[in-house]
Amino acid sequence: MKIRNRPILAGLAASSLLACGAPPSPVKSGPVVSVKPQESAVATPTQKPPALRRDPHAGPLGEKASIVKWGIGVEVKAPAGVSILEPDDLHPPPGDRSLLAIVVTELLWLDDGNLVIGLGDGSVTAVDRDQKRLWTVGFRGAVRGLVSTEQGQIAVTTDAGVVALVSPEGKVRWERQIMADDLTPVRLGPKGLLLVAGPRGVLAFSPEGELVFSHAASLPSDICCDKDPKTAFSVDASTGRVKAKDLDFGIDDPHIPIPSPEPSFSFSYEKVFPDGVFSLLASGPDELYGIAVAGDKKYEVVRLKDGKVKRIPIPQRSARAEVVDEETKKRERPRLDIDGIVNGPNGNPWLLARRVFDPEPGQMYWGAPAASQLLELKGDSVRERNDLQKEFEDNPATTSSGTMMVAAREGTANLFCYGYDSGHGCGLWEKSGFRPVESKNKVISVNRVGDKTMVVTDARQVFRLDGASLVPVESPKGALYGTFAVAGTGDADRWFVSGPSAMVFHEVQGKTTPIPTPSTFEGGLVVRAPNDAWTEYGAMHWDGNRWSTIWGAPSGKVVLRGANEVWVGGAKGIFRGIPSSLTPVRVPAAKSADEGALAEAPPLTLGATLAGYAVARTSLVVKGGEPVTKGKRIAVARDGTIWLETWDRLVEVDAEGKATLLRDDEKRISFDRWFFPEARGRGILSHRERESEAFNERDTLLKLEDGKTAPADVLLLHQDVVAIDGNGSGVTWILGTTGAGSPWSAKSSRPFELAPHALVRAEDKGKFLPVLGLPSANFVDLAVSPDGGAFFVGALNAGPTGEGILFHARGRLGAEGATRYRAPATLFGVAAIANDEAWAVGAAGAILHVKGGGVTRYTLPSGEWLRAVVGSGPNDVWIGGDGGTLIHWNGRELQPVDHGLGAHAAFTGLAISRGTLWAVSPSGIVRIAKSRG
Amino acid sequence: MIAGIHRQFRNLSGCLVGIVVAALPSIAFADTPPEPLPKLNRKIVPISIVKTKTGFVHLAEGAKSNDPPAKIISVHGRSATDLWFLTEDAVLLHDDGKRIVDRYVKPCGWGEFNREFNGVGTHVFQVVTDKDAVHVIGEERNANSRVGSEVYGSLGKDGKWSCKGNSAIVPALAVSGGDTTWRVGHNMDNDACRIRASNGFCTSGPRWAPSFVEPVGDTVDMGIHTVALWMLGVDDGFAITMDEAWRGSLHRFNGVTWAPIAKIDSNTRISDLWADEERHAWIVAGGAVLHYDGRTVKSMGFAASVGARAVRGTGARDVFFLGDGNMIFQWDGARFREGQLAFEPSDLWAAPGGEVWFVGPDGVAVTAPLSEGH
Repeated sequence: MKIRNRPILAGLAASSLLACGAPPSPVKSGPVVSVKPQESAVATPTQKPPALRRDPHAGPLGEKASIVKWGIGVEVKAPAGVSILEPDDLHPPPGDRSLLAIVVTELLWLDDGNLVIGLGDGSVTAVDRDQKRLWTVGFRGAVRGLVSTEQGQIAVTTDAGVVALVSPEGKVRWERQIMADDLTPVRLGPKGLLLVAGPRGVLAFSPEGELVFSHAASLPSDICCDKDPKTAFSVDASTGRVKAKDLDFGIDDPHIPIPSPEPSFSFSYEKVFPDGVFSLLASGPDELYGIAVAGDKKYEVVRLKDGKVKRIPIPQRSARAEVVDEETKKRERPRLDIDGIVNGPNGNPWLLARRVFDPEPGQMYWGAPAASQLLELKGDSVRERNDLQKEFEDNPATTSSGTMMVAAREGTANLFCYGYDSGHGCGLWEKSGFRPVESKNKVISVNRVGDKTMVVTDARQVFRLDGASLVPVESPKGALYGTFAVAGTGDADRWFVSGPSAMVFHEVQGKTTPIPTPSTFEGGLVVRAPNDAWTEYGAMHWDGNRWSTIWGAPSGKVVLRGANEVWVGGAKGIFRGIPSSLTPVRVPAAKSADEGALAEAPPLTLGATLAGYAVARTSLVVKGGEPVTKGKRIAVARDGTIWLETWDRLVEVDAEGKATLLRDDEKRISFDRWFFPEARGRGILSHRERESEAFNERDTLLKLEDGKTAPADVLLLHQDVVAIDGNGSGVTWILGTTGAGSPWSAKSSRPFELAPHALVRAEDKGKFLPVLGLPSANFVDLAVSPDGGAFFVGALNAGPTGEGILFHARGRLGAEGATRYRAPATLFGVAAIANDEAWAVGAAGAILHVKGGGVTRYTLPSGEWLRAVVGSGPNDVWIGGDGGTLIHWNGRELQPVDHGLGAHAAFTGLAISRGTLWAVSPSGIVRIAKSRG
Repeated sequence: MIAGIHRQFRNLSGCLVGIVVAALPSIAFADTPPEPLPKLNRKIVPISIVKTKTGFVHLAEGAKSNDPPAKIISVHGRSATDLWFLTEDAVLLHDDGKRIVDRYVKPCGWGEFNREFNGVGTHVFQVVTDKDAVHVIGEERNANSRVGSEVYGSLGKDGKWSCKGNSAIVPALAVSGGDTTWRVGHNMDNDACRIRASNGFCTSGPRWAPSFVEPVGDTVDMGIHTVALWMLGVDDGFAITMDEAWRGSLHRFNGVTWAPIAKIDSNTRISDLWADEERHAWIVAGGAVLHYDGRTVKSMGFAASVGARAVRGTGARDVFFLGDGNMIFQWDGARFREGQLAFEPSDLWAAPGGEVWFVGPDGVAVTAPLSEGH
């Protein structure tokens, strides 16, 4: 595909993309501003392409390395013999002791005989000829490519969009995360250019890490791993041609930049109806309909008019009896399944439905026989229409969603299409009734485009309704998967949606231009004006110049009511969206405190057992329940109020030691710090709908006032909340992660990888604002410093192993600067001691002490996993973890604490209230205070 | 029934999964030649529980009957006078030590079980008691399912049955630490709750643990099975997993995560696990016996050829094992002893009073209490 200058390109956004946060990025973050295609910064190549000197799996002495089946090791065949490198040999201490798998993904043999190995947890490890580990450095995402550059550097790519250049000694020269897609290994271009491709296009970096250009293209989602020479991503360094399936351009050609995945904050949403709906219809300037489904599939029409809600019941069964079970021939009134609501041709809302019969023997419930059915809402009642009954009987449906009847959901529906591939048809409403319309293929969508009716068939072809005939309309060329949907305001403004890709086609005055989108398109489009279009499910908006992902957009069906007024009906209710002036907080680009691979941290020598403190095992009496004897997490408000989580309850302990039940419906498996007390009876907490399945969409935020909870006015969207903390002076941060949850979810696309990972509030009554600029990571904990900044800790990847991260955003709302510190393993807890001082602890005995921009790393000799840390000052820091580990830092040394819970206890929460340390564990709770006298 | 006996291993892998247990000892156990073992010095009393035309009868000691045995496959209880038996036909029997005092025939409306056809139907296989209830667990499958849905019935102290299973927990086995019954599910879906206690506590199994950082796709654990479990409470327990390469790992729970303790040789079939009052684990693997003493796992020198397949005990010095056929073995704190039953047992249970009960489709037996044994 070759893109030349076109007028429409003036409206396109250049990619101003995010960096990982390691070295200073030469690419500025910020609004997307470019209005014309970038001219290439690279001159026509003249030099010869760099030749691949040898097989990357072959060493300089002819050694061979190969990945053992399932990636569970590396087999090295050397003159001295064959050896197997176990993943144990390839790693510093792993990140979570319970999660075992590390798979080898890539190999690269360097000229000096060292072997570089990429792993599924983002680690890149070098071993010497004796297979001794030399260094390891971690990246976000599984390592996808290791390529040696002409200068002998190692170009690393990952499936999370990271591109980095590492020296043979393990120093990270630069690291970028421009997009979050699964990238190919680097291909070397002329003049040292490093090119990679992902589903949304091609990126080219200079050897110094500058983004030279991005080139938007719709490439297959598996381009990362395509090894077919005909379709794989390739760069001819002698000609400068870049090729892949349906892609062919020169590096000095103009480029349509890939839009930044960073969301736009241009809309805000208010909930106007609390229950889930699955279809939405605007029937007049102030009238809206939705289909709600209650438990046990009881459908009802919801009418919103003049701010009032009216619920109208829908018959649950068809009006007439039919043979429902072919075996028994018994006649019953079949069940009605409702699929949607449209504006009927007679002016009333019509419901698209199916009559459902019993499955035949051997049929699964999703393939049971059904027949299409039309219903009409007239006044406050729903009745069946029998206009197309004969056609419906001749072209039966099933309970599969692929056989739903389709009709235009915008404007007035006049064409109804039904059946499935082996028997289908359409009916066109005319004054005297329906008239058949023939289509060779089954129609999968019907759309109003201006005053025209257009359809798309399952052959991905577009037709215009002309009389009672379907006339072919030429689809844009270059659509990766053909056309899936069509929309627009008229012949001069039409959109063609190409399958699941990040590219749509806009036809203006007959001229078609591919427009890249910031994330993959789902469904069709809803278009109100040439400068106001939305994706069918409300995630992205076209403002006339560019498509942007809208932060905060609820997921659901969209209807448009006026200029920039969008209504979204989905599983969480009906929302009204209007333009917003919300401005996100932006953490500045981070400097890195480390050059790359970390040296082995020195083992820590513990002092004598702590003396001069009284230790008491604690049990809390809670009114109306069992005493609290064990805990998971604990937090303290500035007034000393404690919130303590047991496995099934959250209790509040006031200054007098009285314990009160706050909640008993948060039975979590994870050990997130999901609550933050602000004062007695007041605080913030997250509510998790379910522990499983709806990962990253399962948490809502609640405010607790006077013991009562109410929804907070903001969500940390597309994230699981992992920690909430404040500085006692009003600044409160809420931290999330996108990587938690299902093992499957981490494999899917990462549309919110570069979205806000946190919210921050400047004062107690203030509004939470989304935070941009935090690196993509699997965060675990945060601690807010007195200046309103925060320290964030976690891992680069969602376990099981790999490098940890400590990120510090300084100053009020973290706006004054940021520093990133590498950690040898996942960090589980952090405590802010001062504006520039923090302690962080983690897996395998890892301890980091950050002070004044410097960092000291320790390793606890026992190697126990450390899970919590708290401090009241630089000379009073407590650390707890597995194996009965509880230690105290007095400013000079760390001393073990004799706590009485035994060597098996795992301390998971620490807090200091009124001079007393509370240490909680699934094995018990202890309080520790200085002995009197 | 001891879970390891009934479990059907299925290789469902196909996933890229490796396994690493950092710096763990690997337990290899040679099949030492069998030496003559001293005889069991505990009296074993045969018990006759038969199925009559009208129900089930616990015959008095020495009494004879022509009625067939009750075909008991699982036993558990709270004391020598509060015993629960589960029959092959899904009948739950309550026994006071002398007579059957209650029976519950398919109490939750359970259907038939077709043993011959891919295990299709309702298969209840284990009874477990705790201080609050008596639990019967099983699995319901159709011809197409690899793992079906949970079958679960719980008889409360009020005499009422609760029949609500949990689709997320298709039990592979269940154990009771006394206060609580624990069910462990197959690792077949993406539900983080793999191990569920009867009091509602829920945690993950090894490799799907309640980590502070949850796992990535590489760790998809379709091929990982938790094959044995013994929980000591919400902050302690043992589990053994086997991965798709048939490598076993012993893990210990600390209330947060499962820490791998030892590897077990590849292709060693893990049959059962039990932990004594010293929180030491006894493992039956490949027919032999392994012991975890709190620091290391070592082979007890018990020959694999005797075919140990299940373990329970009344204490660290009174551990019983089911062996091949009708053989049983006891570890008395210093040595193994052997004994023989008149039938092939499928399950055993050690009562708090020191008696050990053995059940099988063809018979029931109980040892004398520990105090009378020596």
